[in-house]
Formats: sequence, C-alpha cells, structure tokens
Amino acid sequence: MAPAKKSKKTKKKLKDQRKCKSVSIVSLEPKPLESDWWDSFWQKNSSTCGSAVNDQVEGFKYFFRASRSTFDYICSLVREDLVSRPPSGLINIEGRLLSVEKQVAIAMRRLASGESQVSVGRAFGVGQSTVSQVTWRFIEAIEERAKHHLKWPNSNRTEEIKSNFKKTFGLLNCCGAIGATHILMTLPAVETSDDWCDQEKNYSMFLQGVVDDEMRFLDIVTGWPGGMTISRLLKCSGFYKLCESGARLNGSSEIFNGAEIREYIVGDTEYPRLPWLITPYANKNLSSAMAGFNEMQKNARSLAGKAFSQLKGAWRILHKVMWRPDKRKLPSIILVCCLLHNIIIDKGDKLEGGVPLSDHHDSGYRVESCQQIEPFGETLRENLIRYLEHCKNNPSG
Amino acid sequence: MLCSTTSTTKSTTNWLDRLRSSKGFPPQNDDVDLEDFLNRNPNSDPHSIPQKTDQNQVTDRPKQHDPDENRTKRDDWFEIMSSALAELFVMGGGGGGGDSRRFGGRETRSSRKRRQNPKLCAIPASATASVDDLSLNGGGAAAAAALSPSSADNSVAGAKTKKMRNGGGDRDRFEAALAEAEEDRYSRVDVTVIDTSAPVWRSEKIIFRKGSVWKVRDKNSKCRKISSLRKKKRKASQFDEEVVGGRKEMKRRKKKKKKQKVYSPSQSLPPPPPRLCLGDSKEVRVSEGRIVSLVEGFPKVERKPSSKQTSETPCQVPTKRQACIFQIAEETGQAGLFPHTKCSHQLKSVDLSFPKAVVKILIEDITKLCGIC
Repeated sequence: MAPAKKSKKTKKKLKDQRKCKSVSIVSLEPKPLESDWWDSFWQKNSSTCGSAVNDQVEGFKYFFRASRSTFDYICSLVREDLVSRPPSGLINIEGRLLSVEKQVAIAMRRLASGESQVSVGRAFGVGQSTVSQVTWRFIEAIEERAKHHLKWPNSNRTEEIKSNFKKTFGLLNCCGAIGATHILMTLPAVETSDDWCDQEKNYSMFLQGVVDDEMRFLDIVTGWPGGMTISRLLKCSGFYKLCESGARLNGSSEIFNGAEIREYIVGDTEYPRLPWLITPYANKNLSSAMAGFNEMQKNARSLAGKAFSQLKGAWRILHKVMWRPDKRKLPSIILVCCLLHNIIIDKGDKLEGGVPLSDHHDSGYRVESCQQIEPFGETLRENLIRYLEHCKNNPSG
Repeated sequence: MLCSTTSTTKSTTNWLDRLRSSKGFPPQNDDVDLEDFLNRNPNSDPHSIPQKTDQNQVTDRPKQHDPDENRTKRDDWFEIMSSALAELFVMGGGGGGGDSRRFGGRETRSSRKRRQNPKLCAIPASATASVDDLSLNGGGAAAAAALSPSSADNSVAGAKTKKMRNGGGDRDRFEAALAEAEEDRYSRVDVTVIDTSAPVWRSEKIIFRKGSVWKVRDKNSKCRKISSLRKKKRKASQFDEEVVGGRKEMKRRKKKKKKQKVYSPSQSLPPPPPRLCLGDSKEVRVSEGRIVSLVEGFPKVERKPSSKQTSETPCQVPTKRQACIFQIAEETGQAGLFPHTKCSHQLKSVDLSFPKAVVKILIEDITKLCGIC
C-alpha cells in the first residue's frame, strides 16, 4: 500500500507542477495576446452584426455597448476582483486561463444581448458554466467597485442640472425626473405569487429611478414586487423618506413674485403630487396655461422614460422575460446595468441609434393615476404655472 | 466529541464542588457518588443501583435516616446530576427534561436539535424586526427560508409565499410575534431590495400582504460581500478573537504571560482570562460551529435594543456575556428566556464557568424570581 500511496503523491505533485507551469505561462503572457480574444471573437461573430456595422470600432460598440476606452476603464475597475479569484473554473475550451478583458467581455455580452449562456459561451469559445460564473463575478465586482457612478449629485452638480432643466424645458428649480419600469420574469408554478403578479398579470420586479438632464440615474430602488402600486413603491423607497424628512431636495428655493419655488422632481400621474414631486394635470378641460405646463412637464419627465428605454435597449437582459431568476440576485443584475448605463454616460460614449428600445420601455402597461394630492404640491404647481406664464409674456426677461 | 478525558474529569470535580456549594450542600457528600450515576441503568428505578454500592451506602449511612426522605433527596440529586452529566458527556443533550436520563443515546443527540419544552415568548408586533433577528440567530423561519435549498441558485428564494404555518420549536418566537398575521392569513414574501438612498444599499425585507394591505418589515441587513468566503473567514477569525477567545488571542495571552514572567517575575500573576474563554477544546469547537449564526445574527440583535436599553437600564450585561448566555439558552432550550437578558442585574449573578445545564437551572431561577420581565 505504501508504494501506491507514494505514486499517488508523486502524481499529485506532477499535476501541481503542471498547474504552476500553466499559471506562470499565463501570467507571463505577452500583452498582444490579451487582445486575442477580440480578434477571434470578431472573426467568429462579425457576420451577426448586420450591415450597419462597418468596422471593428463600431462592431466593438455594437457587441459591448461601450467604446474600447470605456471597456478598458471597466476592466480596470474590476481587475483586482477578477484576477485575484482562483482561476480553476475560468478556462476556455483550449485550456487557457481567461484574461480579465475576456471575462469582462463575456459578462458584458451576456448583459447586453440577453442571449442564453450557451450561445454567449459559444461565441467566446467557453462553456455555459463559465459564462454563468464569470457574469456573476463581474456583477459582484461592479456592484462593489462602481458605486461612485450612481450617487445623488452634490450642490454644484445640482445647480448644473437645474440650469439645464430650465434651459431645455423651461422648468425652474427642477432637479430631475422620476419613473418606474417593470422587469419581467417567469416563476415556477409552485412558487407563483400574487405579490409578484402586476396589473397586467405578468410576474415582474420594479425598478424606480430618478434621472438627471443627461438621463443618468441619480437614484434607483429595485427588488420590490410588481404587484405593488407605483405610489406604494415610492413610499417604500429611501428617496421618499429622505425627501419627506428634508434631507434631500432641500437646496435653495427660487422666489418669483413673492411665491416660493422649491427644489422638486417631475413624475407621471401614477405618482402622488407632493411638495417635492410635481405631476401633470390629469383632467381633460385644461386652460392654455395648464396645457402649456403639462407639455413642458411631459418633456421633462420623458427623460426618465427615455433612460429606461436606453437601459433596457442597451442591456437586453432586462428587456427579455427572465426565466425563473433568483430574486435575490436579480436586483444586483438590475443595479449593475444601471451602473454600466451611467458609466457609459460619464465616459461620454453615445449609444448607437438602434440600441435604445423603439417602443415604450413598459409597453402594454397603462398608467394608473394616483389620487393622492398634498396641498403644498398643488401650490408649487400653481406657482410654476404662474412663472411659466410670466416667461411666456416676457420672453426677454 | 474529541474532548480529552483528563480535562473533563478535572472540570467535573470543579463544577461538582461549585454546584454543591451553590446549592448549599457540602462539597463531599456521601449520598451521591459519581460512580453510582455512571453505572446506573437509566431505565430502571433509581434505587436499583448495583447492590455493592447500595450496601456500602446502607452500611455507611446513619440508621436514623428516613428512607422516604432520603429517596426524594436522592431523586432531586439524580435529576440535577443526570442533566449535568448528560450535558458534559453527550454535549448538551441533557437540556430537555424528558430526555435527561438517557445518557449517550440517540435520543439525546436528536433532542439537541429539538426543544423539548418550547416556550412562547410574547413579543409585541411592533418589534417584529428584532424578532426576525432573533429567529435568524436561532435558525428561525426566516433563516430557514433564506437558507433553504430552494432559495439557492436559479430558484425563487424570495418568492416563497408562505401562509405562516411553520412548525418546529425553534420558530416559536417568530410565530408568536406574527400571530396576528397568521390569523389573518397574510401572504408572506421575502424580498431583496437595493436602494441607493439607503445607507446600506442591499437589504432584506419581508412583505405581508392581504389584498390591498401591505406590511413591510425589515428582515436583517446582511451585507453581501464580494469575496464572501474570504471575508467570512476573516470575520470568523475576528469573532474567535473577540468572543470565543481564539487561538490568536490565546497565543497573545500566553505571550503576555511569558513577557510578564520574564521581565517582572516578582509581579503577581495577571488576572485570569474571562470565564467565557474556557480554553476547553470541546467548547471552542462547539462555538466555532456556531460562529456563522452568532456573527450574522447576534450583533443585529444586540444593536437594535441597545439604543433603547442604554436609556432604560444603566447597567448592561456585557456583549460577550449576552452572547454566551443566549447561546447556552439556545442549546438548553431556554431561548424563550432571552428577553430576560434585559434584567442585567439578575443575569450578572450567573456564573458562566458552570456547565450549561447548571446555567440553565440558574436562568430558570432568575425567571421565577424576576418580576420585571
């Protein structure tokens, strides 16, 4: 028995040595080899781009939604987490270790296309489990490392946002637009629940976001079941609590003809009218001033809708009906897509024309009006109408 | 189970003496012999002990002793000793009253998982969040839901809709706190929420719903880590150092002792380490097995009431002490008494160096005497 044991040990040692060798070979891999993955990927998949893509630069953006420089920035964010992990499972079919760039590419392609893990794996020459593993590691890493790309703006940035809203939409002291969308999914028959079943009889999870003038997410909340109403969703959010307590949207107010216009955001009629949340008039018989206000308010709040269209269009995993997702993990996927959305805006990338959704981000969902109206919200809206009328009568002022 | 025999016997004499003295008996009592209890057939009558010992006792004992009185006394002693011995040799199986006489049997082992006499702890519905924390700590319903296999990958963890019909002794406190919801048949959904306006983005919530009525409760704010395994390990080691008295801590103490010996031999010995750090390999191992639950669950339990308690009760039971008492209470099926930790003045008197079974008795005494909780 003893010699047999020895032989086993020697075998193990040999294996370890081989492993060490392979690791050292990979770590000393020359830099040009790092871009190997793109060349082979492009060769294999360029035909799927269609005629709109002319060169590799456009192709890169088509597949990963980001320019090469933004992609490199994302790699730099997560490098430490992806490199330091034990690489046991992260080898491709040829047996080579995956570089950080390839891992990021796999994960971003999975999020961007929403295709199955098998087909994404086929495109990169890796197995389905590798795609799953790499994607989740990437999500965890981004969730931790890219938090600074999604935060409520400081006072300087808030002033910029307010100025841009005033310039673009004519709304004084507006700090953003709020909206919500459903992320659809299926549930196993055993686990079906009315709580996740929304108004359109789909199983869904909510994503609520406040966006700035550049459609950047300033605040999100996700994970709540689609069976909730939007107003309840708002009230469950930390944003609502902060605003109600005066810790947010508490910047300088504008005084117009003795009337105060405080900081606020705009939303659709599904939201309650609050002192810091202005909704449009819902009645049909409106005065011209009211109709004018509604038009401006609609343009401003459409930023939220456009942001969701862009988000769901760029990261198609959110637009497809997810098959029995783990609801503990799904909020992380949604958050990471929002973070990537913001990174792309922060880095100055522009999405290709066909990427955002052509139709509404929540197509098939009707807007339900919320009856809750707070007097201060009504006063603020009237003040805004007065201000708009004044601007209309005195265009030079 | 790998505890050394020598250490056990040593500690046995110590705690026996202490137990006797605490109960008002002289340390060397001829009435009760350890051998009797070890050799006794648990299923037989307490008096059908081996004849040899019986004879010895009869001959040694003064004749004026009333046999009935002696019998009841011996019964009492048997109860105490058997539970304590079961605790020592079967590692915590003697907590249940019914099973206390079955030494080393299968029943005793299984009884450790189940509480023999589950006690309801009436907690107001407003304190649901903290109740959840407690239940998590003790492997309650919420924890069970979170850790259930169906909640694993590619499943519908949070989607578990329960009609609040959970059974099992460990979930009693949770059920009691949500009795109202149970009656009204609220559906329950566990959700994971990410809110970037919250101080901690990720949080676990429980939604109770009945028609258009939604009630949202905080579950526990478990922060998810990137390298969870590594961080867990780190946490565990920290916990070892802080609470259990891990190897590092022990080494450090040894080093300190050595230093003191070297540099100041004339000085008196440093004060002994806290009694929580028993240094017994068995104790440490058992504690390590519970590290995760304690680490994840306990600080939350500790944190919430602490803000209130500081104003209410100026003298607090120290954290380590609470952890230990709670752990003992859990293991001995006395978890329902945990709210009594608020009676710090009562619990301060509990000597943690006693075996768990004895501590259990002392906690029970506090329950009877305490008129505050």
